[in-house]
Parts: sequence; C-alpha cells; structure tokens
Amino acid sequence: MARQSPRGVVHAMQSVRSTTSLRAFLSQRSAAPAYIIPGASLSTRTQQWKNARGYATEVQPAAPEIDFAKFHTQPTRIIPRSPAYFSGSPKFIDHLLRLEDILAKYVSLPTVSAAEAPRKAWFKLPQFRDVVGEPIATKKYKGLLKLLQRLNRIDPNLMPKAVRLSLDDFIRPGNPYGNKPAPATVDNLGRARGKGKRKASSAVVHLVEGNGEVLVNGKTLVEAFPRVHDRESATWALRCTARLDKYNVWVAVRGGGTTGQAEAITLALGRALMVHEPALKPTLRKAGVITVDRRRVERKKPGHVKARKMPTWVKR
Amino acid sequence: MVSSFCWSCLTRLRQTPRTVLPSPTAVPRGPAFHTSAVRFFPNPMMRKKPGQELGGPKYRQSKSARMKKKKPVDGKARPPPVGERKALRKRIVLSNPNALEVEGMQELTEETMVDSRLRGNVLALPVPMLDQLRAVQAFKPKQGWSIFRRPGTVLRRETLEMGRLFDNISGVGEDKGTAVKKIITGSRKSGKSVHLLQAMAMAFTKKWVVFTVPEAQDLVSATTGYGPLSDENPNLYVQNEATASLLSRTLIANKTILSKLQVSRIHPALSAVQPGMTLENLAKFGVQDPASSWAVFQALWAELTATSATTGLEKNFTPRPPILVTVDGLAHWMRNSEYRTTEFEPIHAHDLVFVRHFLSLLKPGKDESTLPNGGALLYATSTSNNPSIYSFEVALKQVAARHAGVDPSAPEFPKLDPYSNPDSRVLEAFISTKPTSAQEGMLEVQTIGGVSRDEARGFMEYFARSGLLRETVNDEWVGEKWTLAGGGVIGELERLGRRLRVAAA
Amino acid sequence: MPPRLNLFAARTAVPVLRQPSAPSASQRCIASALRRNAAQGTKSGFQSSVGVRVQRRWNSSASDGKTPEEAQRQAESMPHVSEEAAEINKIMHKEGNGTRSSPELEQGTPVSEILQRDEEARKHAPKVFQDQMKNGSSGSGSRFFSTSARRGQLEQQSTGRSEDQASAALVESMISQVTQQAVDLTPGLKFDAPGTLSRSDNFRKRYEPLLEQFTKLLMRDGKLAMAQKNMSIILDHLRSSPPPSINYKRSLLPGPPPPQLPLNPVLYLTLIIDSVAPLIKLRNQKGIVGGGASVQVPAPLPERTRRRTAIRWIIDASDKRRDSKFAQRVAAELVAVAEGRSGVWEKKEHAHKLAVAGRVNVGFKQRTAKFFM
Repeated sequence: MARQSPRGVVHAMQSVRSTTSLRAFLSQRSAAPAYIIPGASLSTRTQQWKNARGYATEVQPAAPEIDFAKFHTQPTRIIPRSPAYFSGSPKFIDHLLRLEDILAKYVSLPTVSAAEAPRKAWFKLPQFRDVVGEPIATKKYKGLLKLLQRLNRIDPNLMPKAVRLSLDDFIRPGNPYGNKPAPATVDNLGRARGKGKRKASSAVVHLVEGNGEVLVNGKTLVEAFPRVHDRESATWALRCTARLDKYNVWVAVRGGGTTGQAEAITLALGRALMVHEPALKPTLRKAGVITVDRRRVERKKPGHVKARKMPTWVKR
Repeated sequence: MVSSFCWSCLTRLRQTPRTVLPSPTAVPRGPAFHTSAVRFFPNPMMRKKPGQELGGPKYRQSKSARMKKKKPVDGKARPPPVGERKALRKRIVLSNPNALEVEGMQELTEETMVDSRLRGNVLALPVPMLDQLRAVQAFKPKQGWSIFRRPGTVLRRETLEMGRLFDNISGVGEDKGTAVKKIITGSRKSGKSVHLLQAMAMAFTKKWVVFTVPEAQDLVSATTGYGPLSDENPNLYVQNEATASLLSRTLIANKTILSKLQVSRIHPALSAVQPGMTLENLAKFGVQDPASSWAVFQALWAELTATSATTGLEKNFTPRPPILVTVDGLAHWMRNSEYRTTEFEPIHAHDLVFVRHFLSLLKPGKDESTLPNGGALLYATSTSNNPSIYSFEVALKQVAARHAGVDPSAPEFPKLDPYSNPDSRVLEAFISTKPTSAQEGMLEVQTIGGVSRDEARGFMEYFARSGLLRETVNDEWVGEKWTLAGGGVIGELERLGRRLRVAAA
Repeated sequence: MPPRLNLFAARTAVPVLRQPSAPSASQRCIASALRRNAAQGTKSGFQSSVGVRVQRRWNSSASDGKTPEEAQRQAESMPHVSEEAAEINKIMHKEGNGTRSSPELEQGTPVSEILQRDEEARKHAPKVFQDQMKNGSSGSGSRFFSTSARRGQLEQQSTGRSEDQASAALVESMISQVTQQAVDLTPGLKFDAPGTLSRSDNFRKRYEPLLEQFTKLLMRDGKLAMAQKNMSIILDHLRSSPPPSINYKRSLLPGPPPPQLPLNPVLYLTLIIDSVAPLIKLRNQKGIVGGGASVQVPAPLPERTRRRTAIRWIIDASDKRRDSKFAQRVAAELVAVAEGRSGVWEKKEHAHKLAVAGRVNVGFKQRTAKFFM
C-alpha cells in the first residue's frame, strides 16, 4: 500500500524513539512480555507514558532485545508468548484475539438492540494507531470495532466485569457522549428559544403563547419578507401544526440573503416549538421543518475559477 | 485530431536538404555566421487566412479561449411598438367572466355603506358608477380587480367610519356641511388607494362633486406643459394641460350634478362665461380651451364653494353639494419639481399653482371654512413609489401631535433635526392652527393598518364564493393567512387569496 | 402601525396558568393505559418518543391498582382499534386522499349515525337498535356493533359477570370523560394535536409537482423568485382568459368540461401539458446491426421527462410570439395549445410518427443476441 508507507515511516520512528526511553502501556494484560522463555523469569519495565495527545500509548518494541547473557541456561528454543509474534502487527492481533475470546465466552448472554446499548466513543483509527504503535489497516480496525460493538450490546445489567474492563480499554479519553446538553425548557416568562442556521444566515427565535403575531428583527413579517414564499417558509412549523394563531414569534436573524434568513427562521422556529410541545416532533419531522440543511457555499480553490470550474483549456 | 506538435518545432526538426531550400531571393537569409539551419518563415506578403493564425495570443493578450458567441436568433430584434408595454402595464381589467357570480352580494348604497352589520362583507360597486370611477381614475392596475366577476371592496372598519362621516356631512344633523381633512398613511399594500376609491364611490352615491388627482407625481415630473402664471406673478407656474385634464375628469364624473348647477357669480377673467350657464358648460369651456383652463378651474371652484349668490343673480343659485378632493401620492409634492425656471433653477412643487391650490385647502379658511358647503379632503401618501422626504415625515408627525392636542412649544412635540437641512415650505404647508369656523375639522393623520380577522375572513370567503379559492375557509385557515399577511394587510391577503400552491381537490 | 408583540402579557406568559384543569394522576394513568392498549392492538410503531416514554411510566404505575378485567373493559370503551388504526393510518400515509389500507377501515359510517340522521330509518330499525336508542347508551362512543367488539362482548357475557354491569357503566362514563380530557392533554401538547399531513405539507414539497417543474423550467439565470412571479402571472392568465374552444382533432385529455377549466388553473395547466407530452422518444443505439451504424430505437419516457419535453416545447414555441412579456407569451402559447392552434401539437405528432416508423428496431437487440448464441 503506497499510501500507507509514510505512515510506516512514522511508526518506525516512534518505535526507535520508544526504545530509548519510553516504555508505556496502559493495562496489565497487554503489558506482559511478548515472549516467554521456559525456565527463565524476566521482568519488564512497564511505564505509563502520557503524551500531548492526552491518552496513554503502549508504544513498546514488538521484540525487546534478548540479552543472552542473562540466561542461566541456554534454552533449546525461545517461544514467543503471543502467537501473533511473527505477524506484522502483533499487539493489534493480540487485542483482537483477546476480544474474540471474550466474545466466545459470553456469546450466550442476552443482548439489547444497538439503539439501546450505551453509546461509547471508541478510539478513532489514527488514535488507535498511536496507542498501539503499529500500522493498522482501516478494514482490520473496522473488524475490531464490530467486535467491540457486539460486546457492548450485551445487556448492561448482565455485562460481566471482565467485558466492561476490556471494553474500557478502547474508549477514547473525554467521553464525548457523556455530557449531554440540558433539555431546553420554557423560561419563567413563557418564552422558548430556538436557533437555526441555513446557508449564511442564523436565526434566534423566541416563541411565546399568543395570538399569531410575528416580528422579524423588529419588522413585521411583510416588511421583512416581501416574497410570499419566504413568509410561508419562515412560519411553516406553526402552519403545518395549525398553531399559527396560538403563538407569538420574535425573531432575530442575521447574515445571508432572504431565502437563507427565511429558512433559518424555519429551523429555529421548529426547534423552539419543540420546546413548548415536545410531542410535535414527529409531525415537524415529517413537515421537514427540523431537518437541518447543512449545505454551505463550497469554497473557492486555488487553480480554479470558482469552487470547481477550471480555467478554459487553451491550446498554447 | 489536432496535432500536439507545434509548427515551429516541426520545422526545427526537419533536415533541410539543399535542393529543397527555397531560393535565396524568396527567403530572408540568416546571418552568414549563424550555424543553425535557416528557418522557413511564411512570406509576409501573403495574407493569412483568418482563423489560421500561427502562434498563441500576442503579448498582453488574454490567453483564455476566445469563443464566438452565438448570435441570438433573429426575429425578436424589433422591439414591440411604442406604448404597447406601457399600455399593458397600465391596463385595468375590472371583470373576469370566468369567475362565479357571488350570490347575495350587496351593492354599495347609501344604506349599506353605514350598516355595521355588513362589516367584513364585500360590497359590489354599482355598475353605473364604474364609468364615473374610471373617469376619475380611481382604479389602479395592481389592485386585483381582474380576477373577480365584478369589482367590489371590503367594508372594513375605516370604511364604515368614513361612511358615517359622509352620511353626517350630507345629512340634516348638526354635522351637516362640515369639512373633514385627512392625510392617509399606512404601510405598503394596506389599502390607502382603495380607501380613496371607497371615498369616491361614497361621494358619488351621496351626489357630491369629486375632484381627484390620481397620481400626484404626474404634476411634478415635467411631463406636461407649464408657463408663468402672469406678469405680476412670474414665480408661479401654471400647467394648462394638467388643469384641463383635471377639468375633464371632473366633468365626466360629475356630469349629472354639474349640469343642474348654474353660474351665479361674475367672473371678470372669463368674458365668455355668462351668469346662468350650467357649470357643466363652464367646465367644458376649460377643457376645450386649455389656455383658459386655470381661470375656468378657479371659477368652477368659486362657484362650488359659494354659499350664496352675488346680488342680482339669486335666481341662478341652488345650494351647492359637498366636495370630495382626493390626492394620491402626496409626498411627490413636497420637493423640487422637475420643472426649471428660465434661469434653469429647479421650481419647487409649491410654486405650481395647481399644487399650491390643493395644498392651501389643508389650511383653515380665514373667515369661513375652506369647504363651506362641507366635504372631505383625503390626501394619501404612497409607499410603492415614494420619495423619502425628511421634512414631510416630520410634518406628518407634527400634524398628528397637533391633532392630539400637544402644544407646539411642549418638549414632546416632534422637532426637526437642525442638521438635516429641512424644507421650511413643507413644514409650513402643514401648520394648521385650530380652525375658526366650527364647520371645519382640524387636519389629522389617519393611519391605515391591517384588517381584523373577521374582516379577513369575509374577504377570503369572497374569494371562495367567486370560485377562485378551493379550500375550506375556517377560522384557523384565515388566522394563518392573517399572520402571513403581516397582520391582515389587505393587499397581501389578496395576494394570498389568489396564490395557488396545489391543485384543487 | 405594525402590530406589536407583547412579551409581558401575563396571561400568555405563564403557560401553566392557561392549561385547563389538570386531572388527577390516576385519571391520567387510566387514559394513558388505554392508549397503550390500543397502540399495542394495532402493532403500530407510530408513537412519539416522549409519548412512549411517559406512557410506559404511567402504565407501570397504573398496573398496581387495576385488575386485568377492568383494563379490558376500559379498552372496550376506547375508540375501537380499527378507528385508532385509521387515525394512525391517516397520519402514516401522507397521500391521505381517503385511501385506506384495510377493508375493515372502509366500512364507513356506523349504523347509529345513520339512524340518528334518518328518522324514517329509525322507525324501521331492528328492535335491538331501538332499545339501545331508548337507553341512550350510544353516547359512550364505543362501536359495540362492530364485529370484533361484539366478539368481545360475547366473551364477556359468556364469563357471566352481570352483577357489576351497573358499576361498569358508571366506570365507562367516567372513562369517556377522562378520555376526552386526555385528548386535550396529551403529554407534550398544549393545543389540539395537528391533523394529518398531506404531501404538500412538507416544507420542501409545498408546490404541486407539475407547478414546481414548470416554474423551474421558466427560471432563467437561477432567479427562482422571478420565475415564481411569472408562474403566477401565467396562472392568472389561464384563470381569466376565456375558456378554450374545443378542437376535436387535437383535444385535451379527458377532464372537466372546458367552461370549468379556468376556475381550476392548476388542473387546466396539467391537462394542457399532459396532452402535448410525447409518450416516446427515439434513442440512437449503436452496435445493434453491426458495422458501427446506429439505429433509432423508440423508447418510452417516464412521466416527468414527458412533461419536461412538453414544457420545453411550449416555452420554445412561445419565443416566436410578439407579446412583450415573457410570462404573457408563455400563457398565450398555453391557451393556444389548449385550443389546438399551437405548433407544439405538430411536434408531438412528428415525434410519434418517427417513433412509429422506428418500431421495427425495437426487437433488434434480442435478435442479434440470438444470432450470436
């Protein structure tokens, strides 16, 4: 794989660096020596090395130098502890085999559906490569992730401690799914707030119960949007739920043009309405009002006339 | 396929045998010491064919491909005939024979125009009145008349109030003969011009005399002739054609009334006018001879505002009817016109006698009311074609404050920004003190907003009953349209009513 | 003056104040339990996430004080499963237009409603119905005469539990009240639940497909607002121009009679476009006959493409007109098409003629394939 060769160089550099001073590993099991010598006990230095990335790596030479002088007796044959010792990425395959073992052991446990399983943030591939210190192919890592997800689907109430611990090894630091935003509520003045963006516009909507008046940046709806289409767009969330005469809307919208502003208001209004009436969510979703359109203008590139247009080809 | 070798490279590659070389007389020879082979240059005397140029673009020429643009297909080269596009733009269609006749639709009559039970209903304009309304140019092209069977207007709150006002002025009560002066403002499409139309329609039903200026801009945009009024007043200018057309409008619209009234005063400026001739003939006189139109207009105005005849001519005098004066697009009169003096200085709109006359009506009369026989002055601003004039805006605020009883010396009275270069003549035109005559109302500003939900519902039902709208008109639906129309702005409601999104069920 | 919002209006500001009197928790439990029963019966997955969560909670709390029999009786008093299913069906299927999924749902009006309306029928109604009407028990809203419900009744009778009939009726009337309140107070809703959404209730699909297509084809230089304005001018023209006189050689597709067309401009436009839309086009295909020669094979067009072709033809033909405005030209051309005067008809006939001429080539592919085998 030609694309991966520079990465291979990087990894080689890392392993060189780590042989000098760094010995790090995060868990006891994988910190075991990579080989066993019958009749000889060997202590390896294990050392936790936290780098700037914020997570522990286990960069360690796959094969520490064997000092034959230390042996009291010359063994007839040195057997590596890991069966993957002679493969290209022994540590990764060790992890894989370990997970497979665990899965085989607990495969009979009841599982929950993927949606109900606790959401975990696994290592991303580059991070995991960093952790292991080996070049790992994307596809192989996907296989590992599949295993992890399967293990994670074991019913959380019945999940054995061993499984939980081994799954924890693969979670990237700073659980991004852990901190959920607090559910929006209507404030003490009865206002719900919603934000929305579309194209280059962003809108903030304050929604109160009322009788169907709309102010956009202090102007009436007609003054803000001379085009009927835009007016309809902006109030679509209330229109499709037949609540246009039950709420008052106060909007601050900036940036972009009229269409963008109108549809930014659509989204913001839909979200604000969901704060008032959460049960409207399926209706609003069907009406296409709380579906985010995250397309933005594509940037212009050097060498191009516009985002994609190339200069006209000239013969000379 | 185009060869990727360039011509000069090929010539360089070529081994030129001596025999093939062109004769030395035809080819410019290189210097004798030069070792490279002599290149073949095309004979400069031979003209190149166009399009076969060798080499790229010259120094400092653009390098992008020069593509020939296709010429547009001929056949549309001739523009449409002169005036066709304007005629299309100004065309007023008052009827759509495809629309259904609305059953039980009531007409605008003396009874219906004050009937508050009909509020929110659409009243049809009586057919004979349509000619009069067309004559005074009450209809404008984009008011949505063209999709209904017959023209009709919504009886909204403002209309009912106006109807009662007109009823009182024409009636026998104590309000008889009062003069009402209003400046009508409001947001875009809120129905100011249609309000004027309703006023005219009511005035016609009440047998008033109606003077209208349908487009104030036409008087200041230098499209009609003008000249100094007289030698004594070289700074005042008269527009004869515009005056003549005003007279002809008034004449056609008020023919029946004017034909019953007779000249009851002596008009020294008009030698041909005899006491006892009808006012219709008087007006005709001005239409036929534009040079005297201004004098005729003044005479006509004097006759119509007369409360009694001069001595000796009593037999010619019958009581004069009230007068309605409407002007649309007032802001155009508040700045320099497009006309120029002989010194090529711009002429202020207030120096045109026509404009000056109608603006002077806003001020209270000296001894008696400006409209002694009663009547209404309705001057509307426009928002579609509107110059932004700071002094005028402030003047309107001051008028509103004065009408609300705010003392002009009080701190809350709207003040001019001294740095904004205000136009003092504009402010002065609207300074109207408390009128001395009890019959005369104070100048006020009326702002027209959106219609209420009930009125909007009536309007939308009118669409549905005309067969133009195929949806169930219920309160919810109307409420939605009311909001989309920015709080019931009636022009926007009309747009929403005719809008088609989906095929009817 | 533009209308002003009043953010500080006390009544509207505090939502709790304006809610109608909240029923006690137990009542809510009953209601939600019923709803859950009904939902289970239909095996429909359509429930809002919040609703499901709340229901589950309430259901679990409700289960302690209630016997299963009671729960079943309450289920009887609910709108019947099929009705619920119909409602859900209406929500699920956006087409709406009265298309229902199962024959059970198409059973139509309940007999009692007909009886209520029709005095004559009431006289001749079966005695059972007459008795019931006298008792006035039909107000509970249950469709006891529908087949499945009757089965349930029979089962109840077979269990022989007549002693608590009266108390059951009392409970039922209470429950119907509670149900009514629960409709008002569905968790997470402050007002009535919105009705069914049709296709055009989607924000992105608000226009009729043909209108949208026509508008986009009218668009020049990406100016959609301009195109929409032109489209409305065209529709207004269709609505106010005199109804088309029929040309029997080139008549529009079957539809309402011509005098009715201008009042339904969208239908009028659809008929015009679909009438001149070509059914087939010729496709150049190489390598069928060999020798590199291409053969013209007629191929059917999908509906959208057919319309597109027709619209393009109409717009192209309108360029030759002398009206000064683009929208006026297109509108006049549309009316000309409706009256059979337009050259677009010839284009369509020509395309069809060519396609018919090329119909020999349709089977070529199979023949050559057989030859090579």
